[in-house]
Amino acid sequence: MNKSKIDLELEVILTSTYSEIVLNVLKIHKNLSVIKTMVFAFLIKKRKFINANVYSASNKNDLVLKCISQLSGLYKDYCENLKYIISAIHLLIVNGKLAYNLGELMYVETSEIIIEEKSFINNAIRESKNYSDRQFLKEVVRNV
Amino acid sequence: MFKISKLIMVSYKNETFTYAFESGINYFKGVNNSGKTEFFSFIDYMFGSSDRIDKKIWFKNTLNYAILKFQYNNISYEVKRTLDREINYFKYKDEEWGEVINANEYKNKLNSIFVNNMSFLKDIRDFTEEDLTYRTFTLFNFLGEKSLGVLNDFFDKGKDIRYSTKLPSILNYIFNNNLEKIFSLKKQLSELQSEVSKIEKSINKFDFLKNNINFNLKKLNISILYTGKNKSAILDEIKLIKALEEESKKNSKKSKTIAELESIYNNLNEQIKVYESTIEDNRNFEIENSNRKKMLETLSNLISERKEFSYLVEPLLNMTGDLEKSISFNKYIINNNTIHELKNQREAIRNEIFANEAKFTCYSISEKSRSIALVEEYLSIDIECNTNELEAKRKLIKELKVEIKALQNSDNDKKINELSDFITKLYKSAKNISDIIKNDNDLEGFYIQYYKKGNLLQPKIINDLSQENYYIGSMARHTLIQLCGYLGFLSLLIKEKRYPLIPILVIDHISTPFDSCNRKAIGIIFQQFYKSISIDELQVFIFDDKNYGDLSIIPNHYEDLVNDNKSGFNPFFYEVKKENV
Repeated sequence: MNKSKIDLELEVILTSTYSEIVLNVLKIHKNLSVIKTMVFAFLIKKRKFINANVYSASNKNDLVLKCISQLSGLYKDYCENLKYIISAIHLLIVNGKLAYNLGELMYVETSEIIIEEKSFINNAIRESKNYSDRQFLKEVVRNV
Repeated sequence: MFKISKLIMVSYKNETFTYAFESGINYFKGVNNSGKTEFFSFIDYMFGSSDRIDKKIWFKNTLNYAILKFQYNNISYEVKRTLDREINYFKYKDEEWGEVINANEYKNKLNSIFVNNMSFLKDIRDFTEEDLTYRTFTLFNFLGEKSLGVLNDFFDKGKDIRYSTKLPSILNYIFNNNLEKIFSLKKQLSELQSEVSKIEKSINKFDFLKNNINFNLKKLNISILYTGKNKSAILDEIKLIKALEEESKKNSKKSKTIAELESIYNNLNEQIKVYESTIEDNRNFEIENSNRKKMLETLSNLISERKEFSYLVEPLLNMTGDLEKSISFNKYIINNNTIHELKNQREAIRNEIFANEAKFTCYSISEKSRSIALVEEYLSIDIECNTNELEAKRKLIKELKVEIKALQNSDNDKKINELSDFITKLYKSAKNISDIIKNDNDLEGFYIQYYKKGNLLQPKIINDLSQENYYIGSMARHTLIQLCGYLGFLSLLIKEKRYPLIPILVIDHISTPFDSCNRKAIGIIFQQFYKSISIDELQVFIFDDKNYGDLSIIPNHYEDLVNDNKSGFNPFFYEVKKENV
């Protein structure tokens, strides 16, 4: 593997960013499947580049669909980011921060106190638990 | 009173032939292929229809022109039409033929004849928002053979798109109870609309001022934005600057740097572009397939690069391959909405970038002082920006429109019921002749109800407990009901004396669906009808192949289209009958 220095730097930065995001998501939501984690992690990172949120926490319906719709036009970007997200997840598992079982990620409890921010994305993640993984993936592939 | 007295036909060889008509019923008998239907549509042609009769073999090279003489309200008119639609003449009886007029002028002249009152046309235009002329009202004049027996949207011409779009508004107008109220509301509406446009103008002006003020404030490095209400605050700031005091940094909101903003802008821009181009390029399932392919590729590459991820990635791979078994529940509207929102953000960021540029530009003192002068001047212009008022007025307009619509669609039930009564009475009058009508009459509570919606004549059984629709076949029955419907409408329109209606009824081959006993009902119905209206008020033309006696019609004028001298309607046309050769 002959990666240039800049590529390596990129990988390090992105992987660590995603590690933080994934860990934060699972801290709040305890468990979430890999597929969903990937999408939400990507969106949360992307949000930093969006001035204001498209949707606010006052939305009540179709949260997951609205959330996924923000991926529109970003699919290619998303696919490129996949490897960093996955390597972040992998690192978290290897280091015992997360547990993995049958496609599902679980947060390994610590005694840390967690405060949940009331936000659209958190609501959407909660709603997404009603979706089967396959359905969720379908929506992702379909909508962007 | 109205009467078409003569139709004079002139051939290329200047031979003439005259059909004379009388008030009341004019009955023309003709065997098959004698031009009954041609006569039927020729009357329409003389009254301005745009049929291409010059293409018809009946008339081609034989008929040159025709003159129709008629009287209306004691004035006699003569109109002349050639086979070419655009060459027409019009005159009063005691004048000479004038210049050629084209089809439009011809129709305009006829329109002025039949419109009793121009202000009525204006009213009906205001009401229906359509240009209606006497031509539209010919809807009520012609009962052709093709639509005999139709009760649903029962006017023959109603099948024609030119009429069908106008019929509902005419019916709304005829059966409307609230004409005056609607007019006053419409007046109110137009006043409101002009007020709104005034306010909009002043808001535009205000926006212009606001933008200019804010632009200049930026130059002065004042972080407050002018909103229309904080005039004094801005003036205070300016005072501070004039006094050369350093403004205190009240604004603690951390603003993004230009580089940040630009990267956000580019990101958004890219996202929107990609989304829009995918929409244009692909159909949905293609997008899905290409997306899946991309996902599969990415994941397989990943595994081949980093074996240790396979426990995470393989389930994903499997699932991606398995997606065909489910469907998506997405609503495209959500996606569009998101993109729309993103576009708004893009716009906002662009503005912010522009706004920030001012920060990093150096302005000279003279420029700054000019800005101060400008801001002060703009602020001194007192302009109203009353968005609340605008909203309120817009809401009012919306409400008014709804109200007008509701009023326009509300019916004058009394009038509709009177019409239904009239039609039912007319229909039942032939009970002693026709066994169909006798059967119906024997049914207790038999009634023909007219419905405006769908322009429908619905037979019903009405008794104390209920009213049921009465569906029964027989084209003959339906044709009789339809005839009564036509007569009912004509009598209604004629009696109200305000519609631009040619008071004629032209019927083609009505005997078709009847057996010998039931066809007699037609005459009885006409007899009954002429009890309620005088023969001067409505002239009827019937073309049929039966003898008038068979229909028990007592015509005021009778003529056979075929006689020793001619073979049909067009007296100059001799057909070489190929079948017989």
